Order: sequence, then structure tokens, then C-alpha cells
Amino acid sequence: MVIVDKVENKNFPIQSVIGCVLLALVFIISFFISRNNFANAAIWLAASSLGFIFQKSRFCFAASFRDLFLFGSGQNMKGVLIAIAVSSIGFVGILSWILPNPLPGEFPSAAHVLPVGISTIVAGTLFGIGMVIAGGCVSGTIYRIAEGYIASMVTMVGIFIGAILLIISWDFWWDVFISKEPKIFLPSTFSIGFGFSLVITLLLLLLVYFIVLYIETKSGITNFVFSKNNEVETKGFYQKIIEIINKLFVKNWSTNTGGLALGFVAIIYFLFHSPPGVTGEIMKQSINISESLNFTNGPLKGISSLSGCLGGSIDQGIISHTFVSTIGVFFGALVSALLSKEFKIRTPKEPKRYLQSISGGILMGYSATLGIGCTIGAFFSAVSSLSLSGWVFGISLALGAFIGTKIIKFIG
Amino acid sequence: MSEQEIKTLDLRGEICPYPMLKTNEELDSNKDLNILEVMTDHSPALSTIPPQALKRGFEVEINEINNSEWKITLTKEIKGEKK
Repeated sequence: MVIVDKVENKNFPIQSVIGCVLLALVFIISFFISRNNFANAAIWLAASSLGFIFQKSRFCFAASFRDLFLFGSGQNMKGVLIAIAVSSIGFVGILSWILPNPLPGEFPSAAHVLPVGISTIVAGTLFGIGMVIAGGCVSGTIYRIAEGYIASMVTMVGIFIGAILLIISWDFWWDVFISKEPKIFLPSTFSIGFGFSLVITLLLLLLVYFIVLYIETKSGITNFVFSKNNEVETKGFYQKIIEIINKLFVKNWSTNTGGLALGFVAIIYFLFHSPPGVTGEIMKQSINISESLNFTNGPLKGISSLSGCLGGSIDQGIISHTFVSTIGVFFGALVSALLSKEFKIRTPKEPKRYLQSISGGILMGYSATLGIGCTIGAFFSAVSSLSLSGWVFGISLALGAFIGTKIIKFIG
Repeated sequence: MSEQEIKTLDLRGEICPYPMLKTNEELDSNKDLNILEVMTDHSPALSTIPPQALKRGFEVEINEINNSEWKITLTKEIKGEKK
């Protein structure tokens, strides 16, 4: 049995007040963005929702892979599977609407159909190791910064260093691997059509779900229900309203609810622009830094032929698509953390954790740039876009996470 | 069984997966342990520690002691008294 007892805090709810002000600010900002670019305003709101969902449901891609190996727990992975199932159903509608009859090899340019090959496997594996060592993937790092985790700020510095390191070595990766790797879009490359591709995707997700259930059963994990210490009472109309507001904005959501919400928000992203990604702005700024330090000159080779978080989706100006995608997640997570009164500056006590944060960050920055996306852009959005690259990236993430768990157990 | 052995683990500042990893290690290594109090400020630990503790035969009580600071009390179930 699990008993939860929440002590009523009698202090002035300063976090809630700031949270409400920032929530209002999200909408005010979207109004100003919409005067220049309506789609960007929509993506700003969608990204803020994404950050809100991540924080509320403690959605964690790193944990979804890691906990399977470390604890035999599939709680987070089930949320991820629900999210992908929902978004792929929605994406099929959008994809078939943009391009009803794709010629062999053809695919909608906004979809996250990325080159698949050695670069995908290397990127996925390195990212998997990095996210486990750092204790969170790129999106996790963004929302943990909003919650006040100092370690995550260190990870973010690492992500930039890693991204710059890859930008310096981009020509090698492009010439030897990426330029030669095919972009495989299930419906057109194998001429199986949209419906059949969706069925295959959903069946594979179901297969993974069974594997997760098997791992959980073998580890002997028990499902548990939270029981609360307060008695059943009859509630009035206003109490009910307040309870609903509390459930939505203050209390934590389950990972399954989070997954469901993530799936729907991803569809909104694609309706207005392209599937979600969070690393775009990080990559754009890393390219800018590299250029100003004379590490590179001019645009990266072949970048315009790529979708995902790099390449085609990077536009100019400060309030760009990538800016609203990345900063929106941070802002939404901050609102969510404040409303739940979960903002707190948290500093690791052991010095080795800083080393873990920075090295995990460097691995993630390097591999997210190589894989043209992170767990969101190159895995979640790619699988939902019916791209083979998403599955290969996902399996590589699992391999990397497995290696990562060995490393963190060793570090202790 | 030896007399009540109570131990406190202060895991504040630790992030995923260390709060659950260290709790598990403690539960597994110290067989005489009857009550383990875990202090954490990492909210994901609230949903990951309970299943691990239940699996090992411990009851769980979570108390919020401060904003974003929790005390998780794990108490060994006494055989025969299991609900």
C-alpha cells in the first residue's frame, strides 16, 4: 500500500502567483507573434503545451529506456508508446492529405523522414549513452532547467559543446555517410501505401508493448495505487470546479495521460508546420557560434536537403520557428513547475555529478546534430512520420541506454 | 527478527536514477532493515521508488515535508499481517 500525505503549506503561494502571471504571458506573447507569423504563434502555444505536459507528467524518454534495463519498469515506455500511436494515426491523415499518391521514394518535405544508415546507429547509440549518464534527454534537460536543476544547466552547456564539435566534423560525416544514406518513407519506398504503413507501425508498437509487459512481469514489479489520507466528502459545485483546476494545473499527471496529450500536441504541430522537435534552436545557435569562432564558414554541406531539426526547418530572424519550438518548451515547463510549486534550485552534492552532466550533454549534443534530432525529432517524430530512420534510431537508443546503465552503475 | 532498525538516506540533490538506485541498494544489502526513510527533492522518485519497495515487501508512505521535498518512509511488512 502507498500512502500519500501532502502537508498544507501556509506560506504565501508566491510560486502560484508567478505561475499565473507567466501563463497569461504565454498567451500575450502568442498574440504578438501571430501579428507577424500565425504558424509560429501556434507552434509557440504547442511548444508551451509540450513543456507543460512534460513537467506535469514527468515525461522522460531517458527513463523510458533506462528503467527497463535498470529496474524492469516500463511505466515511462508505455507513455512513449501511447504518444507514438496517437501521433502516427494523426500524422497519416496529414501525410496522405499533403501527398495523396507519393511516387516511389517521394515523401512530404516537412515530415521527419531522415537518412537511415551508420550515422543513425552511431547517433542513436551515443545519444542513448548520453541521456542515461546525464539523467535526462534534451527535452528533459530543458524542462529540468525550468524546475531549477543546476545539473541540467551544466548538461545544456555540454549539449552546445557537443553540437559545435559535430559541426566542426560535419563534412566528414556528410561525405562518408549521410550523403550516401537513403531516406526511407514506408508508404512510398516499398509502395505499400499509407494504410498498410500505419498498420505495420501500430503492430510494431504493440510488439514493443508486449516486450515491455514481459520485462515487467519477469522483474516481478507490482502495480500500485495511491491512496490518500483524506476522507470521502460530498463536494459542492465550486469545490468540483476547483478540483478539476487542481487536477489539470497543480497535481501531477500519469505518464499515460502525458503520452496521450503529447500525441495530440504533436498532431497540432504538424498541422501548423512540421512534426515537433526541440533541438532546432540549439543547433542554429551552435552553427552561429561555430561561424563566429571561425570553426566553419558558410552553411553546412547538404543541409538544405534534410528535414528534421537541422536543415530545411531552420529559418532566419530571432523569433523563428526553431526559437518558438525550443523556448516554448522551457516556458511551458516553467509555468507548470510554478503552478505545482515544484520550482526549487537543486544542486548536486557530489562533484562527480557535474562531470556526468557535462559529458552526457556533450554526447547528446554531438549525436543530436549527427542524427538531425533528439529523442523527439529523430525518434518520436520520425517513427510517427512513417520513416524507417525513427525505428533504427529508437533501437540504437535502447542499445545506448543499456550501455549507459552499465556506466552509471559503475560510477555509483 | 532483530529489533527495529531505522535508517535515513538523505538523497536530496540526487537526480534520476540515483534516488531509486540507492534506495534499492540499501533495501537489498541490509536485510535487517525494518524502516528506511528516504529524503528526496526529485519528484520522479515518488513514482519510481514505490513499485521497487512494494516488490521487496515494504509499505510506502510519502510525506511532503517542504516545497518539493519529500520524506518517503518504507516499512517492512510483517508476514501474516499483510493486508
